[in-house]
Order: sequence, then C-alpha cells, then structure tokens
Amino acid sequence: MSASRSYPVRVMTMGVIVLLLVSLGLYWGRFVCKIALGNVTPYANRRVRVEPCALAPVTETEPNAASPSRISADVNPTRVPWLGVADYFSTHLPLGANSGVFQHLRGEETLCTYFDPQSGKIVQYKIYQEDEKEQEQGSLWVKESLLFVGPEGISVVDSADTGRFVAPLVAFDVFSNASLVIYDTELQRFFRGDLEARRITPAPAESSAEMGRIVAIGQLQKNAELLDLGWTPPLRPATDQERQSRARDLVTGNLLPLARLSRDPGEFILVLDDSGCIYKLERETLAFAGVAGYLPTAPEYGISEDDIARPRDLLAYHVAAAAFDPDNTHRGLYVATLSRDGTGATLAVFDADGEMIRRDVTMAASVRRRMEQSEADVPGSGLLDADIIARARTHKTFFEMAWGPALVGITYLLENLQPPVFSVASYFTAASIGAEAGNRNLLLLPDSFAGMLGRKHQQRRIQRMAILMLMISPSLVLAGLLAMAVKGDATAIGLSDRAVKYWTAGTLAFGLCAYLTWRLNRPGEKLVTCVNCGRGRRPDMEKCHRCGSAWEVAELNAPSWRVFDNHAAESCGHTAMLPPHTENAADEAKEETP
Amino acid sequence: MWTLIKREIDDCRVFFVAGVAHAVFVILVLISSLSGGLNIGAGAGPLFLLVGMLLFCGMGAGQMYMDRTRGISCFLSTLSVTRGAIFTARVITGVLLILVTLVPMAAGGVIVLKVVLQPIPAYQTMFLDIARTVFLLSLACYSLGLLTGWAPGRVIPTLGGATLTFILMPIVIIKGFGVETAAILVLLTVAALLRSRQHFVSTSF
Repeated sequence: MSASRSYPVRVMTMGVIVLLLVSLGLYWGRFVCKIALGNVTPYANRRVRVEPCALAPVTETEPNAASPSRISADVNPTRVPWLGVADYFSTHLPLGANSGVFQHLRGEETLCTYFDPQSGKIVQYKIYQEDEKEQEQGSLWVKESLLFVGPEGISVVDSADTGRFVAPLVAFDVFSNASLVIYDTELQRFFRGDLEARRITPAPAESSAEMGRIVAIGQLQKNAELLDLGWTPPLRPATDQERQSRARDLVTGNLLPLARLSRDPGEFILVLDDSGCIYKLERETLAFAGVAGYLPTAPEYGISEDDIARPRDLLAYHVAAAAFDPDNTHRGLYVATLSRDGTGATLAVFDADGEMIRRDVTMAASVRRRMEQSEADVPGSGLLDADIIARARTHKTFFEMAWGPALVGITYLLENLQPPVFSVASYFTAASIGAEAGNRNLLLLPDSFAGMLGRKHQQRRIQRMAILMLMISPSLVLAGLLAMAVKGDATAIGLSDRAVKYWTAGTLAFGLCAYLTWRLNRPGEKLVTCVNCGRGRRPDMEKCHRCGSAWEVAELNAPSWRVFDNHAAESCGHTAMLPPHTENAADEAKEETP
Repeated sequence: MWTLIKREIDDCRVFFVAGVAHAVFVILVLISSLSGGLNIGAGAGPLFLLVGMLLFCGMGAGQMYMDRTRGISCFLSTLSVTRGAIFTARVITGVLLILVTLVPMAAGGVIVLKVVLQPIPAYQTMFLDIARTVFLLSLACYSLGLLTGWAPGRVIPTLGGATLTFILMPIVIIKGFGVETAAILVLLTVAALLRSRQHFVSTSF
C-alpha cells in the first residue's frame, strides 16, 4: 500500500474505531441518567388514573357505592425492555412478535402452531418425547405435523391446493385453542379458521378497506410491562350474609364489586393499524364494525400534544376492551400509552362508539394543582383542556424533583459530546426512527434534544435550523475549539495544506471523536529548530514548512574573514586580536629594524 | 503460508490449550446444570463469554507484542516472506483459535437444542443468531488485541485490549443479537484489521 493511500486508510479506520467506542461510552452515560431520572420521579408523577371510568353498566352514583370504578396505569422506570438483549429474547422466544410461533401449549403433548415461510402455511404440530410408554425419558423429541393452514383450506398434509400465506398475523381466541383469526399483510385479507372443523373462511374483502397497514390483531400491546394497567371495579359494602356466602369475592374492607369485567373477549376483535387507529371486527363474520378508538399521544420531555400516536412512535401501549358480565356487551376501550422517551404516559377511555370520554396524562404537581383548581370552578368533562395537555411536558416534572435538573443537564452535556454532524442528522431523521430503535441507537438519537426539535417542527424545518444550532451550541463550540487546536498542531507538525484543511473540517464535523483520532494518528517526528525562523521544523523535509528555508542559510553563515581594529584592540589590551603574523609583515619588520 | 501458520500455532500453543480448556469447562458446566447437579446463575453465561473474549484479545495482543519484542517478523522478512504474509498467517491462526474454542461450544449447543429444547423453529433461529454474534464479537476482540499489541511500551499491549473488550462487549446488551449488532461488529473488525495490517506492514523493524 503506497504512503499516499495508507495515511487516509489509517485515519479512517482509527476514526471508525474511536467513533464506535466513544459512542458506546456516551450511550451508557445517557442510560444511567435515564434510569436515575425514572427512579427519582415521584410516584404521583408517573401514575395516570381515571375515576370513574364511565364504562361500567352499574351507575357509579348508586347510593351504597363505596368507591367508583377506576382505571390506572403506572410507569415502571426500572424495566428496560427496549434494551436489545431483553427485546431480542422477548420477541424471538415462542409467542414473541418475531418468533413466528402463535401458539405454544405445553402439557403431556405440546401443541405448537407457527408460520413456515417455505411452505407458506401455518403449521400446527405436536411434540412429545420418545419412549414415553416405557416411562423413560426419551433422548430426542418427536415432532408430528397435524394441520397445514392456508388461505384456501386446511389439510393434514402440505398441499399446494390450500394456497400460501405470505406474512400472516394470527390471533387465537382466548378460550379456544382451535379457533383463530388470521390477517395476511400481503394478501390484505382477514380469515377465520376453525382447526377442529378444518375450515377456513375468508372475511369480506371490505373488512380492511378503511384500515391502514395493520400491525396487530387481537391483543394490542407492546412492552406492556412498562405500564401496569389495571381496572378496579366499583365497590359496595358487603352485608353480613354476603360476608359469609361470598367470602371469596370480598376485597379489602369487606367490599364487593358491583360490576365485573368479563373474561370473555366480547363480541368484537380489535385491530390496530400503523396510524394508531383501533377498529372493531365482528368476531364471527369478521365484518367491519367501526372505529373503537385510537392510541393517544403521551407527553414527552419537550412535546405534549392532543393527537393520535403511531404505534412505532410509542415505547409502550396497552389496549383493553371493556365488557361486563353477564351480557358481555362491548362497552368501550381503555388505552394506556407511554411516550417514546419513556417519561410520560396517557390513559384514555373510549365509549362503544369510539369517542374518547375520559383522559388523564402524567404531569407535574404544579400543573395538576392548576387543573384541579380550574375543575373546582368549572367541573370538567373528563377530558383535558388543550392547555393542560400542552403543559404536561415532562420537563416540568423533572425540574420539580431534587436531582432532576442536574440529571437533565448531564444528559444534555453527554448528547453534546456526540459529533455535531450526528446531532444535525438526528434532527432530520428523528421522525423516521421508531421508539425502541431510537432508545438503542448509538449515533442517531431521535430522543435527544436535537431529535425532539426535529420531530416537533416537521413543517418548518428550515426555520428551526437556527434553534437547532442554538441547541447544539456546546457541541459546536467544543468542535470549534478542538478544530483550532488540531489545525495549529497539524500546521506545526508540517502536514500539507490539504491535510490540514481535511483535519480541520473533520474535527468540526466529528468533534471529540475526530480530536481523539488526531491524537492517535499524529505524526511522531521530533521537530528541530529552524535556524532561519527559529520555529520547529521536520528533520525529514528538505525545506522548513514554516519559512521555506533550506538547512543551510548562507546569510547566517559566518564569513572566513574578519575585520580587526588594531587601535581598539591595543587599548583594550587584546593583543590576541592583532592580525596573525604574515611574511610581508615579517619583511616589513626587518626593513624597519636597523 | 502453511509454514508460517504452523509457526504461529507453535508460538501460541498456550492460547490454544487455554481455548480448548475453556470450551471443555463450559461444556462440562452446561452438562452438569442440565442434569440438575449444578445450579448456575444467570450471570454464568456473560462470565464465560467475557473470559472467552479476553482470551481472544490476549491472543492478538500477545502475537504482536512477542513479535515486537523478539523481532520475529524482522527476521522472517530477511527470508522470502513479506510482512503482509506474516500478518495474514497471524490472523488465520487467530481465527483458528476462535473456531477451536467456539465450535465445541456450538456443538454442545446443538445437542442441547436437540435433546433438551423442543424442536421449535424459533429456538433454531435464536441459536444461529447468538452463534453468529458470538463469533463476530470474538473476531472483533481479537482484532482489537492485534491493534493494541503493537503499541509501544507494556501497559497498552497488556491492558489496552482488555479495556477495549470491556467497552465493546456490552454492545450485545444494547443492540441484542440481531443484524444491527452483526453489522457494527463487522465494521469494527474490518477497521481494526486494516489498521493493524497497515501499521504492521509499514513498520521497518
């Protein structure tokens, strides 16, 4: 490899290594700050509650009701399911989103249903061990295929007559292991399957006509462990007789529930599309039954809006249908969402027609007091004013906490140690990066201050560039200072003008990482003093790179002749300064002496 | 080239012995835990992984450090051997060590898949993803060892590679075992190998 090519290769490779390792270190710093912020957030500031939920069939105002119904969700800051390794195992183990396994029933014979991309079928098979009859543990498992489900039929063998699925989503009925609903995202069609009867029935083609790209059917939840969503029924005091006869149903305080959520999933199947809208399908016919609700946005550090959230923009969501015993009629939904930065949550209640009737969001204590005071004057409708929602940005919460401002400041500084070019790239790409991926990214940070600015102002990007520059000003100042240092050092070392320009531009773009790369690739030649300009010069170069002088400077060489002033030399007693004795001088001296 | 490789293996036989011992130990622990006789905690896996990565990193650093202190490549360069060929033989030896250590563990994992876990396709996919990630992580740690082993002094060759390994390994926690992790590790490995090769080949002693 020639020297002209080896230096750029050396610099680039070292730059990549430094960039990756520094980014890893900065990630962990931000991670620690994030977990610490979650832990110091007061419990009241990370809980959302709607009371009464207004979905229960029994009126909340019954005279003997001790407490109304309540729906609540608590943000759990200690769980980190978005971390790659946790997310990988949760999504790739059986029943996970990326596992392709839709059913896994363990027992004497394990029943497993998964999608086989090669055959294009949903395959159900049973697994058991050999030699079970002899009560010995078999050394190997036996896998026996039972059914092959295609869009055109179900058979016991893999047959082309049953068609092929391409990318199916499957939801089994809660109380039936043989009844399932399938949606193929490529075929864009719903199917109702009955494995016992070996029958598959396509839904009407218009079932999905009004929906966007469907992302989930049946159970609609993501990272639900981050949101402890729970429902408490309305309660009344139990009579003396009921305390004996219904002891199992009693809750703390000898209270009995007035209404009970049905374990039966109800008459509809829920479907979620990529825009955040939730739809209903008739459970048996899979006919379109209208809108059930939507995913509401949750407050973030700097953004809080009344809008529909896309599933990919939420770190967590949990949707639950409300139906009550005994009639099991669909009464509505309650939906909890967690913002992409994990700092704010929203809880919303929708009625049977898909209209939001109740909402609560996490907010700072000062904002909640303001809301309660305004509601004391004018009773609220259960929905929050746009003003309150806008004030629910979580930075208000953090600045009320003891360590909140410090942790936020540290996070801000850590983000500004990133290369400026990636901060600017985060601004432009923030809207296109999903919530979970954003929390795992090393270089492009959609949840950083710059990324948040980019997501907030999608329509006025150019106008917001000035604010972006202000936001990342510490990063730019640091990059500028480091660029000046690198430029001076590179010039002193004797790099060519072009190399100096590249290094300066690279340091301005990549900041600390580029400076570390420079320090690791800095030429190690010792400089010697130039006799002409007095500054350091490279000993391996013919001319001084500062003044252009050669090694020998004729003007500075001492001449071979000297001028001596005898009178001055004698008066000073410097006889040594007398010119050396020459033959002519000797002859003159002889002539003078008699 | 084969002569060079044999020489490298001979010079680094300690690492090969350590790699085989590590693989055998892990397999024995796995068998013991599956048979119910030994209860290993959840931290055993990361610990075994760390020991393996430090071994590979130490091999890379050791190869370059021994060369620098003993002048092996300088001597070999007087023969009809280029420094590029010496470096290639060194890398091939490192990859052999990784395979000698990981392949038995992978074989043990396959047996676990067949015997203990149910034949569900998801498990096989996970096994392949994890094996790929561990192999690439091993290559990356070895490459970082090559990079730091040529540095002057004793501190950087000894501790630099280990420090970088400690910094690099948590990338699996952050990114998981997916394609993103593989891409980052491949990028890091290529960069470290190119840098090491360029540094080694351009050295005049």
